[in-house]
Amino acid sequence: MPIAQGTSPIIWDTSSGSMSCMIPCPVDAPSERFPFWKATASRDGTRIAIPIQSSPEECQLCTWTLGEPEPTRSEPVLTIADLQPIADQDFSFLCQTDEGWTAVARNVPWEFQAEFAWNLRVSAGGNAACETQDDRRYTPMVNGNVWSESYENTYGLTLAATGPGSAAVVQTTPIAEGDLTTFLSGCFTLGTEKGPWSGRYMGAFTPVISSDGTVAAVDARITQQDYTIAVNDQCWPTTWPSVWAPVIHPQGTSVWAPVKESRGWTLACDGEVAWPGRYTQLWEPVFAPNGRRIAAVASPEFGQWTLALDGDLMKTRVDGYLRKPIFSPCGSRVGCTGMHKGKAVLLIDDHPMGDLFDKVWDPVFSQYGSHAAAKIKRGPWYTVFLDGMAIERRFIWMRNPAFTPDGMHLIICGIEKSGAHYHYTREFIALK
Amino acid sequence: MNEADQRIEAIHDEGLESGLAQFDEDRVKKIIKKVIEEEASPRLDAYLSSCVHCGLCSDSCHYYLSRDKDPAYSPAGKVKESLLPLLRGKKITPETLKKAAIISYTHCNLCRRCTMYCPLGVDIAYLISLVRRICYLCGVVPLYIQDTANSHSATFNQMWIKNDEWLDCLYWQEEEAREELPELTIPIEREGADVMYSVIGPEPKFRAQLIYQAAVIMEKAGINWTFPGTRGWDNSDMCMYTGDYEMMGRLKKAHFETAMRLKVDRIVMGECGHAFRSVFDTGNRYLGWKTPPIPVVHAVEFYHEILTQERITIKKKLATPVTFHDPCNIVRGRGLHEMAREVVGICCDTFIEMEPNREHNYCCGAGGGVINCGPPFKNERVLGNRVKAEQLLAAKAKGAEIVVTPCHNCHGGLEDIIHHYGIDMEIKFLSDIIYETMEI
Repeated sequence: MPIAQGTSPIIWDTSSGSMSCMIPCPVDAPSERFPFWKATASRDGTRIAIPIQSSPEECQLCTWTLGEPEPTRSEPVLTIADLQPIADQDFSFLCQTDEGWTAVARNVPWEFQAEFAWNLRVSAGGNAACETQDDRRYTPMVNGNVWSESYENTYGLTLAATGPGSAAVVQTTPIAEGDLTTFLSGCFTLGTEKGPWSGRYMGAFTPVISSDGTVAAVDARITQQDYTIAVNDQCWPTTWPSVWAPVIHPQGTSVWAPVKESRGWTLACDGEVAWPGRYTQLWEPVFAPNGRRIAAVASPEFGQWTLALDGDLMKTRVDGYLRKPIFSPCGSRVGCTGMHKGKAVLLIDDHPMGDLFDKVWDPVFSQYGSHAAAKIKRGPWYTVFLDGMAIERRFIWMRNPAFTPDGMHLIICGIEKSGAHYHYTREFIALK
Repeated sequence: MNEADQRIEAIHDEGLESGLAQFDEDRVKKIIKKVIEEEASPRLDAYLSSCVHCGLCSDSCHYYLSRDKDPAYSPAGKVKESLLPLLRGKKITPETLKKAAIISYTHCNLCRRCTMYCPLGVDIAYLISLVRRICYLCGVVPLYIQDTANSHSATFNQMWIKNDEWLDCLYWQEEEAREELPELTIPIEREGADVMYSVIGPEPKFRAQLIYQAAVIMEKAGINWTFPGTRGWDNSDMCMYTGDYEMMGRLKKAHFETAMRLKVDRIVMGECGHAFRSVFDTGNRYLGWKTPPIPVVHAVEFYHEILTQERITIKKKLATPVTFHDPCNIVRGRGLHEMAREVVGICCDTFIEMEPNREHNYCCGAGGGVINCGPPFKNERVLGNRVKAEQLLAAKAKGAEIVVTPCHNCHGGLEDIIHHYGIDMEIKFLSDIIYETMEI
């Protein structure tokens, strides 16, 4: 079962109350130089890791665990990048040593060393992948295993949420500078760990892959002026002057994408226009986890933005922008963040929620949609906006909140200043 | 045949020729009909019906002035020779299209100086852009600029830079800068930073010292900033100038989405003019954003802010006399000329104005993608901007030894003019003189 966004894994549900640990400010580092912005908490919140510069040339990953007095420190390396949680308590990251770049997942470095590695991806199912370059050949790696083929370039590696599948845009043919003919012949396609598709496109942009990895799709440029969607190596029969990134139905049964018609943007499904409306802009379609609803960001008129849900426009308009919609795990609620009149906004079910924050992150919902929460920033402080109210805490760093699966608690993890030092806290907030 | 037409006929460009080899008059006419009926705004009719052929635009154009007032180079003349044959001609031949492409891509910098002098406000740049749009849809685009647009399509930057090369450049510049400032960090992907700093492809490719200098300025000014580690770091846009608006939209979406994902308060752009036009005016509006969805600040505004707020201090002003070249896109396009002069005044002892200046300044001749059309058109570009050489020589005669200009294209254009006309002047960015004079 995929773990719904914003909902904690089961292991968290056994805990209650708060726990914290002290993060002493390093003697040799002024407090303002402590790189909290690089901090990452484990998914269960029991650990926090921060890459810290141990010398001008080297850094170490310092990991604090709730209940343990001292942090653990990794071996010194030249660079640590893309730090993120994996599984319940572990971390994954890319690191550079004198031998080259590799990835570390669940404390285990991969055997492969490359000249360069970037774009570390971690799936909810616990798989990790990154793009690598060695000797000017580009090869994605998944769980330490290189793809079957190398390419001129790769882009946008993405992992299936639960299965081991992966996909990326790949460039199969070199293009010399000034060589228009080769470019026009089509040098791009979608690659997976099994190899490239047979189709070649003039351009391919945003690869997506279904949860189980059986369906992959990408928005493709077929000629200089024609775009379409390619699904499992088959292009839709229709082309448009432009399209945006597709989305795959959660059951993998259909593929949807915004397409530009002469009267405006609309949504197409499996190559056929599916929505009656035409808009100034339409992008970022998202399915509810149960696949019964689809929402997208729409501009019904120039400079105005709203959400379109199943083809119907919501009433709330903003003049700045809206980000990709987020559904609750049950699909009954939808929210998104954006900007209106120069202020950050949070929209939940077509209602703006407060205007008291400078920045707001994507909302999370409890399993059955009873509660909604979002990380926010006011001035220099982070806190959580829960069901329309801000929690009165002042974190200097925090990660996105999460609900326990039973919907009884909200878990917040953050760092607070405490005298000369800092405290990392994991706290369970009981919900009514 | 007049001299201008002879020069056009003599041009051989692989991009134009390969497109013209596929010429199909019916298809071209359909494209023109589509552009006029579905894309062109009511401005087109308004401009074409209101132009009274008064000729006041002529003396505003550096091509016209530099070509001894040859009417073929007057703004209205260029519209007459490129757009009108496509709109009103009964027969369209490959020669018609080639001439329209050469005039629109290489005889006009879209600098909008003529618009200021037109008593009826006709935006010639808009009309010439329509010609480019038609030529692009017909596949008739000069090779070098089309190659740059292809780079945008393939890599989302204008220099074919791959993602590892971008990141490697940032790590390299951080390492270099730490020798001067051991505590310095070039933050990559810092979510929640106040500033996302974006640059154009030539910086990591050819001018990495600008990234170094920017990092030092950010560090000393105490800015909470970040570079993106993903596509979206490059704010440039030659697709805007080829007429490939679909790709322009894709580039600008990536740029703004990167800023949104990083939750920054604003985007500070490096010293580039055309990128500012794309991010601040053209690209955002094409996508449906009335204003940039994330506030955009050009480097001139940013430097002015940190200098006037004394977030950095100038240790010793530059003694060498300088002049300032106003880039079209941030002066006529944004009105940053006074701010730029204040920045220069804070950093330099002696400032010598070029004449004319501010919003009346002549284009460098590189703008509007003209320099990106490459070697086949270089001679025309340099000879078509003799007035810029005369401006520089006059400033030089008054003692100016350095030309400061906050735009990459202007650097390229001025370098060619300085070289061709043998003017002994050095060209610098604002960040060059700030870095050179600031307290570190």
